[in-house]
This record gives sequence, structure tokens and C-alpha cells, in this order.
Amino acid sequence: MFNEMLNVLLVLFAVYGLAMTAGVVSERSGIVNIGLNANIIAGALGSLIVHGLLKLGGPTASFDDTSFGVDFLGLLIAGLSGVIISWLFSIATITLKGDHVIVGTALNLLLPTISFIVFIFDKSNIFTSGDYDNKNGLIQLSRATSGEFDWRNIIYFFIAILLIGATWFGIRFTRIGLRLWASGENPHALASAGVNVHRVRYIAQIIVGFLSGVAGAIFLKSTKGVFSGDVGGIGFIAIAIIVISQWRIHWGVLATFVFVTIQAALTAYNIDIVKQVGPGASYFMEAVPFIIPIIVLPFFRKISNMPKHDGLIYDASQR
Amino acid sequence: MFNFTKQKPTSSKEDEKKFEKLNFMQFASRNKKGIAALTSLLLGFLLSFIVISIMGYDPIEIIQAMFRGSFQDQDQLWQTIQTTSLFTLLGLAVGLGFKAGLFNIGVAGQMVFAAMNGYMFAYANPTMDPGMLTALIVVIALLSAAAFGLVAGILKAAFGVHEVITTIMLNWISVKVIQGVMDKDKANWGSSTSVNKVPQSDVVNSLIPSISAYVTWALFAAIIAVIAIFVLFKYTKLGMKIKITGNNVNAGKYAGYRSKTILVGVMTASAIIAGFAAVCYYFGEANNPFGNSLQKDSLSVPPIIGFTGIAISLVALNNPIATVPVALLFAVLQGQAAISEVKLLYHVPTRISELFGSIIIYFVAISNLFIYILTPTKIKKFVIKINNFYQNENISLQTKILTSIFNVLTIGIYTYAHNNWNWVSRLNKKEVANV
Repeated sequence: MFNEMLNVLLVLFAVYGLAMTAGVVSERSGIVNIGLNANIIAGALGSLIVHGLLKLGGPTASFDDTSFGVDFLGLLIAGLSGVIISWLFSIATITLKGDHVIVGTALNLLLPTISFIVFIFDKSNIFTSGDYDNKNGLIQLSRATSGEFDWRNIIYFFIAILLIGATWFGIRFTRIGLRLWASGENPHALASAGVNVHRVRYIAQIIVGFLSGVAGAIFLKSTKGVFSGDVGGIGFIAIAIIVISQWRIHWGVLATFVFVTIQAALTAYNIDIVKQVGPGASYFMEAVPFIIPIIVLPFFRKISNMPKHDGLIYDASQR
Repeated sequence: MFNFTKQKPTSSKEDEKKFEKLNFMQFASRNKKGIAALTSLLLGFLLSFIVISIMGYDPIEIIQAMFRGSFQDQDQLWQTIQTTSLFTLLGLAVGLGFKAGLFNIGVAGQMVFAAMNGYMFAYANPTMDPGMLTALIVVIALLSAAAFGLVAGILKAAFGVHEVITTIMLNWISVKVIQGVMDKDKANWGSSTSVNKVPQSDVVNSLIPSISAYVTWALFAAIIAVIAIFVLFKYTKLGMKIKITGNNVNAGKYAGYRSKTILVGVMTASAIIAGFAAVCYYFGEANNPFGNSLQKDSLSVPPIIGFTGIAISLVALNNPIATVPVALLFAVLQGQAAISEVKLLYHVPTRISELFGSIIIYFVAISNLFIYILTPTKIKKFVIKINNFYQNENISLQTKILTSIFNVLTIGIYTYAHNNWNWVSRLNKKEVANV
């Protein structure tokens, strides 16, 4: 039980921590990225394909556990596929000045369809299973929920810590990070200092795509059952965590840790909880992270640290 | 030789004829947004067609089958009409919010919460008179949807919390809560893979069973909602106030409107329309074109149907009258009658119907492209220029071919250099600095 809880805790911390960091980077650069969930799905899809193609015994072999090198390559490819989707997002929002929330919603609806199309192309069931109408991604990688402790989860955990730490450092102390921060507060002032705001925001979106893609790849290892093109709203939970933690990465890490501990305990001790409290309790507990922002936000509104230009469209001619 | 841009087009009757040929491109400039929406709709279709043909199916046949399946016989026609009225209600729910500058992304959650309370009430009173039960289910569904809208509206108006955050959270809360309720009370609900139907629920929807089981009050609800919203924004003071508040809250305050009350009211009204849609969608298994929707959606995530309204309202530019034909189009693309026809004939996966909607909504989201960059006038000028060059008989075929190759190369290199090599401008800056 405890091993399972530790496994889930490490993996989920990596997933939600990375997604939260990606969201903070995006909102700090002044762009509300509701499409975070889409980036995560893209990452999961990319790593799924890599795992299918490079599994032990070649593509046609039955699905077996993969080597750690393949896992690592899966993370990289997942990051790249996240970057591709965030590029679609940034073209629509930055260059074409579309509404951030609408474009994000569009991408969230588009990605399950894209993964479905990719599944259809896999006719010889390399990384999918099932019939033509009921095709799903094949997942037999779920080490997180097994009874034994898996050392790879620690590596994912440290990869996540490394990426989150690097982003935190970069956003606070480097030149590009400070520019990114300024782009979310007052892009016109940034532009008058001679900085290309569009370029800063594109760079921010590349970071967002990479981080959330990696989060998607790690998520794939924590799922039981099948991947049918949705990741259970990680992106939205990440946005909830961002809002609670007032757009700061260090508070976000703390909030993620608390949330993930609850989640891991719920997963590992589900049977005991059902015995004690009654059926349906774990679902009600899952609703808690969504209820907290609604209760907390009105009271913290006055000391809010939300970026000033968050969610607004930057148009150089409006200066 | 290659510089065809300097050739002056001779103004003659032939040219005028060519203009007439290109007349479909001459759009009125005031309808830019509508044209952009239509262009993105067409491009969305084009891309979906390309994707479907890459997948190995014939897109034209599929579209034909979808239209045939939607209007084939009387029952299917009524099914399509009912789906259209459902989609109209969804589009109106989102569009009403847009008018006041509110983005109601929580239609899904409002629908699920409304359905949950309706089902719970029905399970609690299994022996009630069917007519009474129907009326009470509708009232309870509307009230519970309105409660969600009220929460989002009050948080927006009184505390300044963005309505998108609130409604997304409410979406997930409603989904988790309904899963918990299903899990807790399995005796009544059944499991999430086979949800029990509401006792006497078929009465909820059927209205004139002698014509078809699919003639329901959803149609009348949609008609009344369309007319009411049209009149509200065309002829009443309140509509004007809502529009002004939506364009600029400060302008509304300056004019003395109670903008906070307006925001809360519009959000609640939008949620109530979503509640109507929930009753159409989730109740009445036998005469619902979607069948047992609660079972079909499985509800581990907010149902996709709640987001269809966003696409419909965007394509229709928030115009209540234009919402109806757009909803009809989406009903043909995503309705159950069409999908079953396509699946029956061509052995095509059912999820292909989601493809159209999701590609179209992305294109509509980037429809600014067709307003600012690829404007119809620019496209028209470009097409005329090319047409003039290639229709000119004095130029030999060889030159034409060479020119096209050269032009493609130059345009490519120029755009690449323009975007990536700014060494020219750097040189200039250095010179200035030296001086």
C-alpha cells in the first residue's frame, strides 16, 4: 500500500508540477493558456508512439516493458509534440491576435480528434488496441500503481524538480525571464525598451509546450487501462493550482505537493476509504481541488498577484 | 522578362468580363467578419476533407451520406429538427453570454448538474403522476442550472473573479459530484456504463406522438428563445444596455446602468438556456435522438456537447437568427441519424463526426487571419494579377513556366529572409551609430 502511494505520489507530483510550471510561464508572459490540456495530450500521444515503435522486440512484438533509454527518448519526443501544439496556439493568439480562451478551447477539442486520427492510421496495432470504431492507445506501462516500488519514478521526480527549478531560476534571474515577466505586466513598456514582445511570447510558449508535453509523457506512466485521447483534465487542475498559488512557482510547488499527497492517498487507500466512509467518497474528494479556488479566490482578490496584462491581446498600435 | 508586375492591365471589355468572372470575390467591406467566419468554415471543411481522404475514406460520399441520413424519412427528419433545436439552444446560451462580454464555458457543467438534480428528483418520487413529474423535472433542472450561473455571475460582478475560471471549475465539480452520486446510489442509477432511465421519463419529451415520437417541446423552446433574444437585442432598452456593458463595462457605469446586476442576470439567463438544453439532451430515452445520453457520455470528463455551443455561436457571430442555420449544419454533421447512416454504409468510425466540429472551431478561432492578413481584396488582387499574366497570349508558354518557378523560389526566399535575416537592418543601424 505504502509503496503504491509513494509511486503515485512521485509520478503525479512530476505531472502536476510540470503542468503548473508551464501554466505559470504562460500566464507570466501574459497569455492565458487554457490549451494546456491539449499540450499534455499531445505529449502523451507522442510518447505513446515512441513506446510503440521502440518497444523490446520491435514494433510487431507484443507490448512489453521498455528500456529506460526509450523512456527518456519518449520524454523528449513528447516535449517536441507539445511544442508543435503550443506553436499552433501561439500563431493564433500572438500573431493573429485571437481570443486566448477561445483558441485554447478549440485546441482542447481538437486534440482528442487528432489522437483518434493517429490511432486510425495504426492499422497493425503497434501502439493501439481494439477495433476500428473503438480504438484506444495501448498502455501497459503503468508502473505507478503496482505494489512494488519502482526506482524510475524517482528519476521522473528528479527530472521534474530539475525542470521546475530551472524554470523558476530562469524566470526570476535571467534576462529572458525578466522580459517574459514584463511582457505579462506591461508589454507596451517592454516594447518601448526595444524588445520584441512577440518574440518573447513565442519563446514563452515554446517553454510551455515542452514542459507540458513532458508532463503528458510522464502521465502516461501513471494511468491504468487505456488512453483514448484525454488525460482527465490535468491542464484544468493545473490552472486551479496556479490560481490558488497566486501565479508563483514556489507556492505552486507547495500546493501541488499537498494536492498530490491527497490524491495519492485516495488512490492507494481507496478500498479502505470506501469501507469507512461509503461508496462515492473518493469522487467527492476529487472535487475538492476544484471547489477550493471558488471559495478562496473572492477573499484573496485584493492581494492578487495576477499579471496585469494577463489574457489581454497585445496590439502594438494601442500603445 | 520575369517582372510581370509592371505590366499595366489594359482596361477593356475583356478585362471587365474577367472581373465579372471573379465577381464572387467582391465582398462588401462592412461584412468582413461574416465573410471571415464563412471563409474559415469553408477552410475547415476543406481541411477535414483532406484529412478524411488521407485516412482512406471518400469525404464527398461521407458528406452525401450525412445529408441523406439526416433528411431521408419522416422520423429522421424530426430527429434532425430536434437535434437542431438542441444545438440552437446551446449556441444561444453561449451567444447570450458573449453579448455581455461573458464567456460561458461552463455549459457542460450546467447541463450535467441540471440532469443530476432532475434524475435524483425522479428517482426519489417514482410513483408520481407523469405530467406532474415532467413539469417538476423541468423546473428543478432549470433552477439548478441557474444556481451555477448565479455563482459564476456573482463572483464576476461582486469579486471580479474571471468567469472562465469559475465555470471551468464548476464543470469539473459537477462531473465529479455526479460520478460520486452514481457510485453512492447504485440501486437507482445503475452503473455508469448502463444508467437506468428515469421512471416515466419518455413523457418528458414527447409532445405529438401521432406525427413522430421525436416531435418535442425542445423545438418550441428553441423557437421562443430565438425570437425572445432577437427582440431583446433589436427593440428593447435592456438589450442595448447589455450590449454596451459587454463592449465596455466602464461606459455602462458612466451611462448609469447597473452593470453588476446586468452581468449576473445575463450569466443566469445563459445558464437557464443551458438547463433547457440539458432537459432536451439527458431525459426521455425512447424519443431522444441521442438515446441514453448520460450513459453515452460516461462523464469522466465534462461532456463534449457542452462545448458545441461555442463553435455554433462563433460561426453565427452571436446573431440569434443566424444561429439556427449554423445549428442545422452542425446537426447534420454530428447528429445521430447522419452518423448511423454513414457507419452503416461505409464502415467509417463514428468519432469522425467530431473531426468536422473540432477543425472548424480552430479555424473560426483564427478567423482574424481573414480579416487582417488574407483579406478578400488582397486575395482578389492577387488572383487578378496572376490571371492577367497567364491569360496574356503574347507571352510564350516557356516564359510562363519559368516565371512561375522563379516566383515561387523568390517568394520563398524573400519571406524566409524577411522573417529571419535582419542583418540588413543591423548594418544600417551600425552606420547610423558611426555617423
